Amino acid sequence: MTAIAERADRAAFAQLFARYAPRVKAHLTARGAAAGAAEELTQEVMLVLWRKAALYDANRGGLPAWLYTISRNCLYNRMRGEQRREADDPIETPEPVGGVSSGEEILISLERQRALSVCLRQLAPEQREILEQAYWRGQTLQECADQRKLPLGTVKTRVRLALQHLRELMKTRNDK
Amino acid sequence: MRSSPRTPVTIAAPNHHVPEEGLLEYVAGAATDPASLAIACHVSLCAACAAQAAALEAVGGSILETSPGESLADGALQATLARLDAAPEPAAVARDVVVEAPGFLSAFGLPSPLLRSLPAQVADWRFVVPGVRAIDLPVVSSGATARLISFGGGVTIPLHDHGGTEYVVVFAGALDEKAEGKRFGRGDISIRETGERHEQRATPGEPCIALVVNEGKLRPLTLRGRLLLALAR
Repeated sequence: MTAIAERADRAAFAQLFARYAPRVKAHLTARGAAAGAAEELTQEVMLVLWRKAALYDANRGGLPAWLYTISRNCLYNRMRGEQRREADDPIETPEPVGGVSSGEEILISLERQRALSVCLRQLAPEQREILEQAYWRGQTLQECADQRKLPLGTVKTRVRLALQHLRELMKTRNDK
Repeated sequence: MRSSPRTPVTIAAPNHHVPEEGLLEYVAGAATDPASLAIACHVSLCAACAAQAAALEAVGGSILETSPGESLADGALQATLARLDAAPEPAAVARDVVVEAPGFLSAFGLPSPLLRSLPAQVADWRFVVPGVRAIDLPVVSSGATARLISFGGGVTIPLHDHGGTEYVVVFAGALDEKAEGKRFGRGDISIRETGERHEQRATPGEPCIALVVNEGKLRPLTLRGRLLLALAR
């Protein structure tokens, strides 16, 4: 990312593209984008990444988290007829973050992301599935509940437990 | 319109937050637009919820990271690189687009998600009933409404129920929940589900400026609910 932000490095961009574009496409498809639209929006997401590389902040949760948010927003903007919101409108933070992230920060954030992915796989299937349903398909907890024929309260509890479990797994990992 | 000097948005230390599963729906893009606006306003005034939202985004990132992916059409990278040529170089992009509050709203420290949602060219409040003024926010969502409301100090919002979830985020002044003895000040968010009846009162002495989002129609339960009916128009 630093290479893109500072030197507009196309080789670095191609590397990121190879790694993340297919995942972005899968995300868009899971949220209901038709094949053609998913293909085109994936390019758009990657273009946002290129254009806004300088805004990337590794401390905020890493590149995959950023791409996750951009792809979600690009799709919704398309669905709304591309009005109002900026395609990469981040989650609001109280303090605007400054400066291009250093290589070290990016490495730390990548490591954190990797650890989180490992922990995610360790969750009980019922907990992981519900997180995936919400995060990946963008379904409300009410929709998750309806689909599973569970009371909303049960789904909320399951989500809370899943997130709590994830935090504990991360903590155990960090303490090691 | 946005030419007045920028009022620094002070971070409050809110006492009333968004529950974690609500933040998750927000981060996952599952919340409705008006609900997202309310949550974004709270998050931008609440360091704790902002940190939590960032952590939840990281979980979204991990789910993306662990996805097997879906292969792209041949030549997708080349097509994207060709589009890059038409795009500005990365460094040319401005870092922050600061949205200024219009003059008549500049004293309230409104957070940027709210400022970005104001109708273009808004110049004044709309009179609702004595003591209550509003600005309708053009947030698209079926059946839901979002308004910035100014309650005069001491104004009571009579007992009411909601047809859908109600979100209130306070920016200036305070609202008291009568029955529970709870006070909602700057940055606090109140989320009420259908069936949760309540009566609120703006703290006397200063106006209360708040975002009020209703995902369904209000149901006034008293004759004094006239005021609410006017609001729910």
